[in-house]
Amino acid sequence: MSTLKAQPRLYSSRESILTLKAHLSGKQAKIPKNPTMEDYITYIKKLSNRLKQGPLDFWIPNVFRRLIQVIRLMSSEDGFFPIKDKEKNFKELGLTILRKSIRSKTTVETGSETGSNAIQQDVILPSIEQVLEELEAHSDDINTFASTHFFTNEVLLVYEYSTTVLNFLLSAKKTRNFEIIVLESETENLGKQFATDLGKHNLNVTLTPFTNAYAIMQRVNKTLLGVDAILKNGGLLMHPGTYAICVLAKQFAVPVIVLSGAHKLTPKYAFDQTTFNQLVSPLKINPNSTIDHMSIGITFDYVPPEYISLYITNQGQYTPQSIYQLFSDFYNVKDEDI
Amino acid sequence: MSEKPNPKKGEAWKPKEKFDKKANKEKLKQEQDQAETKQESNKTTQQQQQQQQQQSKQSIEQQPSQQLQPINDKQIVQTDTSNKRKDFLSHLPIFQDYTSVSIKSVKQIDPQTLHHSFIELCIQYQNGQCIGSTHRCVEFLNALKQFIKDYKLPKQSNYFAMAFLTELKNIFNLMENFRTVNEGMSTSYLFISECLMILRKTKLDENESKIWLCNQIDQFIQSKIISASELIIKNATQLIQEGTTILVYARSYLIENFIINYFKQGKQLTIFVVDNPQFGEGSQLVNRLLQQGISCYQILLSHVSYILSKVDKILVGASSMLCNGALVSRVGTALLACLASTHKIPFLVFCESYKFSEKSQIDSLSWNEIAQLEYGNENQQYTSLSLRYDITQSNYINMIVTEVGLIPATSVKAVIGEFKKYNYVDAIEVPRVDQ
Repeated sequence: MSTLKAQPRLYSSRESILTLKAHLSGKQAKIPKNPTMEDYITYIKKLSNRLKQGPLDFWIPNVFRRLIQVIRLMSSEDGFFPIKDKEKNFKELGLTILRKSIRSKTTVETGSETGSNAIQQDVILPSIEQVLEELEAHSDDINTFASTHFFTNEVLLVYEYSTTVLNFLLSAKKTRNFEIIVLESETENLGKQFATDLGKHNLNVTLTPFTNAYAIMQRVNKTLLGVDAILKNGGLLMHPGTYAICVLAKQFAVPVIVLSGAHKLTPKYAFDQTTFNQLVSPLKINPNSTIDHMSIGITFDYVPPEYISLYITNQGQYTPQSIYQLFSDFYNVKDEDI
Repeated sequence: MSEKPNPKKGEAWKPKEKFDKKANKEKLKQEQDQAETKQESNKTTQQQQQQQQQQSKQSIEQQPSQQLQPINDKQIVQTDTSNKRKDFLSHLPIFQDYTSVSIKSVKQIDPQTLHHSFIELCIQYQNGQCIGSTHRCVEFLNALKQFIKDYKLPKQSNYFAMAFLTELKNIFNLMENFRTVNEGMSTSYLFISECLMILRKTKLDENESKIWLCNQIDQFIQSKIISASELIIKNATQLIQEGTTILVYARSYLIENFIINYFKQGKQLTIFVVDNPQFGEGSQLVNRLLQQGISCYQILLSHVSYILSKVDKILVGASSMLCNGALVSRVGTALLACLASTHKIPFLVFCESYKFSEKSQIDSLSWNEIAQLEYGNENQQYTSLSLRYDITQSNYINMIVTEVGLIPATSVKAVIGEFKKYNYVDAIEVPRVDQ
């Protein structure tokens, strides 16, 4: 649980899925008497609208989109899955085995064996389990690529706290020796926390304030970033300051690698800093703000896809130019307007 | 203090929360030191003559050892701390906390050189009260003038000029212990040595030469800093039309005066101040502007990407300009310059000509200064690093506003060449013996 608390997006996704599960099993869901698949799907969409915490909350709709896609996959195609690549193959094989094993069991929990509950039991609940499993295990899948991208005695740059990056580095540490520089943003103390967490595992860590980024970038070989949302054009929404780092990295020809779970894929488009953004209370930046000197703080930084070299997700490695393919596999086009 | 148009030290600046505990300790130490030094200076004026006799006897025999003494001073102050970096920055100087013990130990070696005005100055450097290249230079020259007034010649040498030249070298070596000597201070050193060379040829006695030297220092401050800033402001006012949006980084003496001047003429500007919370300079600038009735927006360096599309020009102050066109300035300026060039925003540098340097530097890590402000990592799980200076390359700089005009970054070398003909200032007025 302590690791989940440091991952607010993952936590909110997981919580919302569990809420759905509770609604369904507690029979509080307002579903018509003989529900079809479509009824369930509309119910899930309505629930996601209710649970969403504002126009800039991407993670709850994302996870429900994924759930709906898994439900469609499970219910429509029967047994035979198109084989695309090795990693996907094994996952969907797991799905078929899971489904077949469930159908062979007799269900004791639900009272009446009507057709509606059969749908719920056979399709919805297993899909929920599938999605939860994907959320939990995303870090392990990312870590399989850990040692393939580093050489010995490399210097890596990271920015603020990211649990995905932390796990990635810890698994890479087993096979490679490297040095880490942590950039610290001016407002929160997440940078310090990240440095201490890394330092506990005997990694060589240096902590610098954000203003030193240009001076330090000369020494850096690669940049690793965690992300808040991956947009459909390949752009990213991240913690403020990452745009500046990516611009610098491009100047110095330092590759930028982005690590994220697939639950952050958001099928939306942005073109500048203001499309998905929100101003933060001035008191967070400067407690002495008055109306005569307002402090401006923002929530996200948008980074265009040209600045990024590689995406490593738990569904595979992608370039910004090709990550749209992942969207079409992961989500369904019909659900993009949740 | 009356030379500077800024308000006095005591009023405006309050230490940030970070510095509070330290500042209180420092104030106590400072008061103690001042009390001690005043008592000691009364005693030492009597003892000084005896010591000077001894020193002057030794000075003839041990001239090479005088040169060695400054090296000893450095060793004593810097090896008090065990925090020498072992990584890729082990070549950079770190200036640690000066306890009164370390200052006194330096003082024991050369009691005449470490005047109480310099001790005050060094504590101010450490406190954060004296940041910014112009401020530091002016304060240093004021301290130097006080030192000149209290300076007494060793009996054997009759020439003030000769003796003071060596004293000057000692002073600069000592100042190196407390913070790096910036370019403005080096230029003033060259200027003063030129003056002393001229003094050698004349035959003024001690008091008159002291008065003349103090006058020359005043003239240096007046012409190179104050009139220069007025000219720069005049040049810049032509550049910037009313109603533009400008972005300013941290606090620079020139830019602050420029903004205040601009508003006094009745024109309006939209101002964004980028803050560096480590040194707290951005908030200082905002407070000073508020006192003048100018409202502005404050923003952090990581959030700058949001407003870059709305900004027309970026104005930045300088610590020095190098011969290859690079700008040495507060850390974070290079980042801003890089972003500005990506968004095609003009990047203007305000720099007086006395800060032009003959050095060249390409990257920020080959020479820098480490600012030790972090005291949190007692567990030693990570090392913290914060630099003070930043090198901005000449291709990011659009224009430099100096008192000799508006020049591109690549013309710095030409300007330095011009100055060399005149010994870094206009012709020095030779003192007459009648005075």
